[in-house]
Amino acid sequence: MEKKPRIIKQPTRIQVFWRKTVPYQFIILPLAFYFTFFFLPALQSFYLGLFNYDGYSPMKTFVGLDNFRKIIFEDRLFTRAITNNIYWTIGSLVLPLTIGLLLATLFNTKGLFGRGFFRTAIFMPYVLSMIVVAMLWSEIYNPQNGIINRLIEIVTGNASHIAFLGDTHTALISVLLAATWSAVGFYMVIFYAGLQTIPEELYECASLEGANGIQSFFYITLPMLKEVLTVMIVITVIGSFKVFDIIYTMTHGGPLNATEVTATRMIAEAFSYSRFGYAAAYSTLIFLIIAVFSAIYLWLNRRQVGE
Amino acid sequence: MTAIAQPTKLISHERRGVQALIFSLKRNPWLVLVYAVLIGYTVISIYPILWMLFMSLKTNPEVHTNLFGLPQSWVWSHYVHVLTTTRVPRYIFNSAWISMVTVIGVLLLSLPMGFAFGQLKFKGSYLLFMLLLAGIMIPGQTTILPLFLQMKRFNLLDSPLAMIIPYIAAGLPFATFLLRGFFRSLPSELADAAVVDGASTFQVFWHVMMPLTRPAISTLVIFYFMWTWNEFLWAMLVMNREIFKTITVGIYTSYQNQYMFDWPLMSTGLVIVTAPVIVIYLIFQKQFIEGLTAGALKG
Repeated sequence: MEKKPRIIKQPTRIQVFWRKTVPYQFIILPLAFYFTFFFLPALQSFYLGLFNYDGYSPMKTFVGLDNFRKIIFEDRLFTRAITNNIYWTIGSLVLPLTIGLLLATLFNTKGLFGRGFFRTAIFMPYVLSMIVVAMLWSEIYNPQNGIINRLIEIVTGNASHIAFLGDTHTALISVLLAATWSAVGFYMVIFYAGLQTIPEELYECASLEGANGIQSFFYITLPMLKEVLTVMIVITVIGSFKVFDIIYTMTHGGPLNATEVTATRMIAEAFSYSRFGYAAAYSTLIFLIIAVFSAIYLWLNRRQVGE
Repeated sequence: MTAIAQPTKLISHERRGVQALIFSLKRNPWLVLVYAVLIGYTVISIYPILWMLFMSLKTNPEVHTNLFGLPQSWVWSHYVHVLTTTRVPRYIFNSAWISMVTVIGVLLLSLPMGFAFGQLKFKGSYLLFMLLLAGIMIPGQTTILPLFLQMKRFNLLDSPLAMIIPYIAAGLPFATFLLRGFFRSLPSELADAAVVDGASTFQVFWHVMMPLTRPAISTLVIFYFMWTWNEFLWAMLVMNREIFKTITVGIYTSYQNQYMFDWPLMSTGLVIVTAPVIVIYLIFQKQFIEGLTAGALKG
């Protein structure tokens, strides 16, 4: 690109320098912006976790790894939160991922009409803001007049006032169901994209050999979908350790900390109790957990990234 | 074309509507079950959204007598109330312009990077790109606290910039990744030809390459607009001034305070938050889903 033989005058040093650094001129400002407002804060978070700091006063006390020790060994709510994150992960693998995969498989059936309609409809909840999902489902779960309690009344004939979100036993699963409702369409669309890459001849061949639909699902669809499936599983696990919006708006971590997850704990520590250092240590721990899964993800994806 | 070679296909192709449906069901009776499941799940997906819409058009007493169905008489007064006496129009305006500025910012910064990483060769490009890509892996929670302190130090809290700047920064890794892939797929002969004609690298980028990335740009526009519009956590933390609140935070706080038990009014607010997103989704469905698929399977 630097070939310009027609230049008669010898270019000045500045001109040479300018021309040599053209690629860097394209990236220097955006990269500086990115490092200042994204990468650097992420690194600072580790550093902040080593201090006792309330976020307001100029006082910062260095405490080393004490915050981490307290969180891991003394903070009961951390144990609760991590347990809930794990429940949430399992729940997300069982519910939205599986339902999405099943729907995508059905969706891929030959000779199906109205694909466009089904996709539009089933994907729609995913575009809703989590706030809307949370508030809408709080109404649906309402003990006095919610849809679900009314449906139970209609079916059983008895008045039903179950406080789905107010009971420590049902709160987490209820929030998870609301999240499932919003996420299924996403999984379905991605799995459907994966299914379309499977050559149809495989299925034709299998049916000639006498395989039924269920057999071809387990012996063709699942193995061929392995890559997409692993990536989606990792995405689900990472997402489950990040979950915040829907829990915060539906239950605020309650009742009695029954739905507390690491993210809600972290926000509460920082902004309700003004323990920024402690909260930063929380976020470092979340990061480390996610980093492990991200590394798996990168490794699985290495072909696309490394090419 | 195939009609001549395979006359049977022509016949099945010409069946339309109900006739074609019956034909396909006769060939594969299992399809009945497939339709049943898909229709069943469609109802589960759509009904709560419709319910929310119906609820916003009901009168307050009707909530108890007619919980499930269509409103008996369509009452629009909640919309009038929300749009004239509350701050909701202001919230919508804030969300709209903040989302737009974010989208423009993401594009302005990620396009040159995508071009440089995708088309130009230079020392350290791989390392820098990997550093940028690491951003996709960093969870938002990790940056929140230091970023909050940073915004406070710059005295930006309660200003829209405290939202826009981090939104743009957080959007850069994925946008650059997507654009880089797109720029790479463009033939470098294009650039060479333009250079022979005397174009500078910047002109190649702006006049030759950029117009060709339009599909990727439209995907990013829709994706980031919706993402910013729906963002909640960060907007809630940094913005306490009513006049700059975005719609998600505004609806959440005001309904938490006042309208918790007024379902029609609350639903009206939710419909107002949701309507623009649904309209954009229905129009640009293809680009949106493409963006998501690329994000999940390639990012």
